[in-house]
Amino acid sequence: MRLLAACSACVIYLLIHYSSVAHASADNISIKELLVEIIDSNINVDCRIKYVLDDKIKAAISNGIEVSFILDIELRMEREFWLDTSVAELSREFRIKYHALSKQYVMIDTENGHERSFPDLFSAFFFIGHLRNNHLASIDILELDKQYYVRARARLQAEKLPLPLRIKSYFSPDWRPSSGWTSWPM
Amino acid sequence: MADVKKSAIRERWWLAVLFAALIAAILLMADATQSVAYFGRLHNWLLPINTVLLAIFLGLIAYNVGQLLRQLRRSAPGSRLTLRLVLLFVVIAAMPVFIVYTFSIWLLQKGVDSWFDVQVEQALQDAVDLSRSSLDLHIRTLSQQAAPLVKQFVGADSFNATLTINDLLGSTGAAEIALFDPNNRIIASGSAEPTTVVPQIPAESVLQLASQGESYIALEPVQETSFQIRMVFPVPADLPAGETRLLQFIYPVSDRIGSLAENVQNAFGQYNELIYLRTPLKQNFILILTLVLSLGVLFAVFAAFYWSRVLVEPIRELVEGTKAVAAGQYHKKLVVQQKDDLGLLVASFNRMTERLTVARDTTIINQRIIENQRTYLQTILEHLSSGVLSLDNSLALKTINASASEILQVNMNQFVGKQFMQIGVTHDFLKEFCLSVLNKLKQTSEEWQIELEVFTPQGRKNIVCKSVRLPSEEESQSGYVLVFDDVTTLLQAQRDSAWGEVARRLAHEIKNPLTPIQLSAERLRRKLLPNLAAEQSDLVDRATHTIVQQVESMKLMVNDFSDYARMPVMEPEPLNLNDLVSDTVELYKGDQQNVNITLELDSHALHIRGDSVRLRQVLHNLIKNAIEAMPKGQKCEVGITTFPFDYSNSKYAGIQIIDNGPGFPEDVLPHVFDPYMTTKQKGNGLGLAIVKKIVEEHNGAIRAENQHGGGAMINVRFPLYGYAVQRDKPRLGAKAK
Repeated sequence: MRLLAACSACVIYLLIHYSSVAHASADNISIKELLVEIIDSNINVDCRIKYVLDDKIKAAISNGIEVSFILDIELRMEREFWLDTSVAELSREFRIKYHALSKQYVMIDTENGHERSFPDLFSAFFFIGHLRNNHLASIDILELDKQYYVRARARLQAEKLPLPLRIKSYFSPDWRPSSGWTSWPM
Repeated sequence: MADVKKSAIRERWWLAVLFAALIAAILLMADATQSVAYFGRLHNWLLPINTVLLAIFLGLIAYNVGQLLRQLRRSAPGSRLTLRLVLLFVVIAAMPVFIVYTFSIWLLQKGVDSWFDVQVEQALQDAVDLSRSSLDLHIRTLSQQAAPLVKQFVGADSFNATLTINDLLGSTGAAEIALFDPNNRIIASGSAEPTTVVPQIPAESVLQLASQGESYIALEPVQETSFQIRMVFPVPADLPAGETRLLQFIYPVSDRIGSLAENVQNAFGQYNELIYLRTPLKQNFILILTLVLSLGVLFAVFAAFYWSRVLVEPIRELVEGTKAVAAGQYHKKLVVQQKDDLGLLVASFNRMTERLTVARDTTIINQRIIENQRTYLQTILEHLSSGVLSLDNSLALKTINASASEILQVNMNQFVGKQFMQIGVTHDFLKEFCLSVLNKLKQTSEEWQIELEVFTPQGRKNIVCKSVRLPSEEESQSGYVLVFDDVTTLLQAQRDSAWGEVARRLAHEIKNPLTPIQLSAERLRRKLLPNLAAEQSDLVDRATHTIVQQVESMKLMVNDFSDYARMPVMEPEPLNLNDLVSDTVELYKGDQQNVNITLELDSHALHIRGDSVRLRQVLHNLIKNAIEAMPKGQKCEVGITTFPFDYSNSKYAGIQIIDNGPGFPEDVLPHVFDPYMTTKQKGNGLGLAIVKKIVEEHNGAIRAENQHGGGAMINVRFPLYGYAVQRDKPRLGAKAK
């Protein structure tokens, strides 16, 4: 009886987990392209991301809620008989908020603190959806006899939402859109 | 006992810890409602703590509910009371919680809404509009200044455009001027700040707007507290097929204006954010409140289970203890877990069981003592030769002993519990005995003694009966006890002894003068007879002859007396009674014409132990008695039967002699075996007395009675030789039997 209850709980958890992931990856954020270039012994990544957000998030931004998006890029090494490992990681975080006085959407790159204003959300997401020359690692860390691949994930940082919305995000996947991990071979 | 206490202490600790956690959660909740920021900081703790508590309470309650259901299914003692108490506690706890919850929801709605003011909101909106108007005026002035400058860049190449830009930077006050191609590539640019190398690229939507020939003029925030004005104008191509380029001006806004505008923006932005978050915030407060109150209710339910169990436990133990005591387990001890009234009750129960145990042990010991005494008395009673009866106050028979049945010749066990008079009603020959005893009992309550004569089927019995009242404080134990003895044999022995003494003296006193009388008579006859005349001689002859004859007769009578009084030494030996009877009867065959003796002997040999000479005398006397009893001229029919029989657990050989004579006169029958009791003219009355004496010397018994159809019947019995006399074991509890 206890085993049956435990199994049922696991099945319910997996169903909820995968349904939310599938929902998020299908409608919200998707990584369209990941281009890896070796420039001057550096591994650079160009990334094209499509942000299709729920109206609730757009409304929240338009009402002055600051929303944070993050792009995680990992260079991973394949391993036999064991889990793959990450050899280099890169994160780009952008915060977007609405400036009521100027009716502009302000995008802040948290890496360098640069701000840019956009007249609409489309322009703002277009900007953070085309990230070029992201320095991932030096080519020196690569081993010749190993297989590598790059994977990326863009998502809304629900943990940085204001508290009332954060609690909502626990119960609604609409408030935590994510592209899920998308891999490209090198 | 120690385990139970440890378990109770552990449970109380758990309850205290859970209660402390609940209080902490409520306090956190209370603190969290003070401000949104504080709520945000505590939120990370509130949810996990409450969730964990919720899971713990739900688990504990589920466990307790399951336990209670199992107890209810098996109808465990106290389970129904526990259910009632739990329901009562839950209802008592839930009602105020529900009221508080409803009131809190209402208060939350009103409280959060009170943070916002319509006037403040309108004021902020007005401030924003005012700022916009002010800035728009400034922007409009600048755009009117910048718009005509676009013509200077029509058809200008990169070099000329750069020169123009540098000129304009100085004259227009712009912070940055840049010229872009349709693909947003820089053709020329210039900045008032020497450090700025790369111009700010316009956004994608601006490019689209410009491509459609529209200008873009907007105030843009820069960094935290400053603004800039971006103007993007399409630059018409100098040729029809040429590309439309974009000219971008960026004007700075003064720090003073920027600072003021930012203040307005910050205030409006924060207020707008709060308004937007109002609904989710209320939802969150309600969620947390619901969570905490749910915890409160669950804690109350769990506490209800705990306290119900604590309250019911002593009662349950008492129920089990009472059942155990009812089942005779007086050693049952209950654990005193509490020092309250229920604990006192449990302690009292334990004292009661202790006393019951002592009382039961004492009772058992007393019962054993009483049983032993009863057995002892019963054994004595059963082996008493005297009959003993006890009667209650209503004169109903309570107890008897075996000798009572033997003496009265009835089975007395059937009368136990019945009225004493019922014995006389059932057995007619005991009617006089019962009436006499009852009369005596009614006459006096003192000790008394009477001698009664009872005519049982086996003959007359002399019974000496004594009675004494049984003193007792209890009515059920009081009554009478009757003790009676069969003194028939004793009286008979005394009579026989007296008659023997009489006979011996009579023989001695009479026999001595008889010889001189006889000698004197013969001498007279010898001396006088020859000398007297014939007439006188004849007289003397007759007189002396009579004297001699009577003396002889008297001698015979004296000899009989002598024989009766003499106690010759008996020489017993085993013999067959059938042979003895046959040999004796053989002597009578052929001698007498008017006598017919019919023998009916048992097919089996009847061995007895006795003196054959004396037993022959018995048979001779009895046969002779039968023959002599027959009137002259009538034929005497004598029947002799031998048979074995059981009587009073002993085996006997019986002889029955019947005749066709007149039988015994009724007034003589009771004394037929007494000496000198005869109905014959020439009899000395010693025949049957001697017979009885010989029979009794052989441990036998003799009884005389008349047949219904006429004629006498003599029954004699002797113990069979070779059969030990078997008697019942001492009978205990004759009353019950």
